[in-house]
Amino acid sequence: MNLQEILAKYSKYLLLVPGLIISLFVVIIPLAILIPISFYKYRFPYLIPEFTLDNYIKYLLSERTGTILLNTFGLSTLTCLVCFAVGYPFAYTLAFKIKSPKVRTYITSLLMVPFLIDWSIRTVAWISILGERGLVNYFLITTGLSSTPQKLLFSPIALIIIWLQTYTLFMIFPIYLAMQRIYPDYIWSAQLLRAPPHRVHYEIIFKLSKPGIVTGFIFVFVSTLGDFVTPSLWAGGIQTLGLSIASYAGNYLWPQAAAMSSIMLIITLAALIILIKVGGIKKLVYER
Amino acid sequence: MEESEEGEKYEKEPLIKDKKGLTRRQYLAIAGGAIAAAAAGVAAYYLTQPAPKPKKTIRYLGHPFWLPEDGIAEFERTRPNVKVEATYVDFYLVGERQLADPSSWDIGGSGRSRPLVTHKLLKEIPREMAPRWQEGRAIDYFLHADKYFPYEMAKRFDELLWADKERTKLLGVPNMCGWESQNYLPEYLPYEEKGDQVSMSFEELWNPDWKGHVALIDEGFDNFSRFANYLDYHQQMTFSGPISNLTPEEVKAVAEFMRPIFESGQIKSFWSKYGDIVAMMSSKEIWLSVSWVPVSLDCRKAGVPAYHATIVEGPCFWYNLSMLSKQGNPDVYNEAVDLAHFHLELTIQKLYAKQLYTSCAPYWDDLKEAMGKEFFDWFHDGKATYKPIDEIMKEIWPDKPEFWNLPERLQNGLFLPEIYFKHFWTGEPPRTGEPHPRGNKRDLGSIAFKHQITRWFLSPDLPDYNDVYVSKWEELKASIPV
Repeated sequence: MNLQEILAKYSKYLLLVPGLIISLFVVIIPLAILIPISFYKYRFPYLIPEFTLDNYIKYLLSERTGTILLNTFGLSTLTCLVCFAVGYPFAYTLAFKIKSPKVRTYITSLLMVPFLIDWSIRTVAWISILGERGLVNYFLITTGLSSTPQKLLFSPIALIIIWLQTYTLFMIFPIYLAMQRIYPDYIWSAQLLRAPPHRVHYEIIFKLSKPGIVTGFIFVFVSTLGDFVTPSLWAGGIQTLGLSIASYAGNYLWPQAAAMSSIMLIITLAALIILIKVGGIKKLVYER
Repeated sequence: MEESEEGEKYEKEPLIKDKKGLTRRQYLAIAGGAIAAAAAGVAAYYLTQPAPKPKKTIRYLGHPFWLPEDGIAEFERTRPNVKVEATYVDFYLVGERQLADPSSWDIGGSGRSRPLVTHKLLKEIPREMAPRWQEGRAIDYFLHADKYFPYEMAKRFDELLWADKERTKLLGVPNMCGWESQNYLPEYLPYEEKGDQVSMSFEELWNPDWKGHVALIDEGFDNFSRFANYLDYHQQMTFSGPISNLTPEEVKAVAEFMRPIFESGQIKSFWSKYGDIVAMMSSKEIWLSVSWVPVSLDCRKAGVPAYHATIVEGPCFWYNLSMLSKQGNPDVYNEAVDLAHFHLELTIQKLYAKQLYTSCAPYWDDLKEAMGKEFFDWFHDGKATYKPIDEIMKEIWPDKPEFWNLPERLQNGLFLPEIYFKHFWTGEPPRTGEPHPRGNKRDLGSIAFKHQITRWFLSPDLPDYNDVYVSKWEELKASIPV
């Protein structure tokens, strides 16, 4: 093969190079550093480059680990489900019910507004909505649904509400994009063949939007796993793995933080593989 | 009219056309020429000027509390050949950044410097290069820690400050210091601050009346030390060494004491960002929190009465310092020392005083003069203001007549030193007079009183078994019911 042929054969991969370089420096190399550190010994504040499994063993055998992992993965999974329950009908309406592209643009733009606002200001906003003197309590008291202000902030419920607001967009967009790719002919054909509406929805719309749903789950799951500031402040003091990692890293306990990060990474990857397998995302993508 | 050689008559084309006649090309030529001439003029001007001295750049890594942007602007204005490139990181994360890459900063601020000291990453600063750092001018703790703390604690204190036993070199120039316990809202907790008097016990943190309205700092070291101080003071536990440096067994014992408090759901939030705790207290969601002094001031600014408590068990003393990295740029050593020392000068003190933080070397005439007797005595000696609090309310809150008739307990919780003593920042002449019997006294009172009730120091230390602290803290938080 001469140079011209090699270039012709492989030039299509050139477009991948910038992305691969960024991934190499931002993901691969830091991980390659992180994993060996997780096997280092430690004596505060010294890092001793001698191999040990202690950081893993101690963490996995600790009584608290079960609770922390359950808090972390339980809350993230629950948030994914809530985001799906809210995001799916929203994406469906956006894709099939709203005909005007202008209105669609307005709605999607509005969804992005919270991301333009600083974290601290959003904090204040949550207090005025969920706080004891907030809008929700005002509504509950004035409508007689409650006689005393409800404690909504500082609980897992508050955390899920805040995450729902923050991450629903990550669920809506992939589902919306997947739905937009569904040929209307499929739906018309099914309707023409007198398929009942629920079957049309399930067999065509839901199944063909599965790649979007799985992608949405991945986005929300990964984002909530990594968020440690929101649980710290609003979840009523519960501990999550992200918070533990931040706490160990912030106190110079890098081998322990690296071991926990590696555990988190392994569990997250396993969850993603299961999600992709269950969702049949590969099959669906290639079939199209 | 002209006539051609053939004898035909025609109108001669003018050499310069009227405005319609000037072509685009001609316009471009004229404009281009003008721009080129202007550029040549500017270039000639600059080429004939003497070349400016290249600026030296100091890389600062810290928190804006220590070196605010206003301070940098003033430093650069007074040292025209120096530029400060500041990177600000959250208080509880900055130490990790400094340790991770000591070559990325020349000067840094710290409230947790022990790991840097242990790793020998700090460049020493000869005492004479910090001329404001003098006996009698600095807070007495710094030169005579052994007078105030038990031997082992004083030893740890000195290890963090002095580079040699002879005390000729500093490991950093202390910038701000203070005494700290907990902030509370007097609308909910029936206490008030009266200067040199204790008001409440530390155990209010687990009083079930405030259940669900209490917040702590999200750091094991801070919390275990405070609880150890409580247990030590009430003789419920004895400790083998300093209460801020517990053994693993002692940490476990303190954690066992704390466990029921956590399991009961008493503590509802843990903060690490300053703005978050201000938002939570000023919105009255949190009524009592272990937090920094300026939190109470920011609540007051939002019109919410707030105090910093003088607890029976005594507050902790803390100080932060400006340090130089051994791996920083050696060419800017003198400039970096100058910047470290600048933290003790009047300009920065004016910025610290807004947060009610004390200068580590406050006993200088320029500070006394700028503050005026009333403010200086109120700030350092716990003396009352010259005006009674009801009159002060009208001055501070002219648009809030509802504050004018509040009980004094709440009015004092709305006192804003930054407005009442504004002359310190505006340069107006200070007020004259005598302390009024109903005047405001600062929370935690005088330095002499604080010396009397303080039993321990927190910053810039970290305990030897910090890993045990972190692990136990995580365990305690995992015991909070979901």
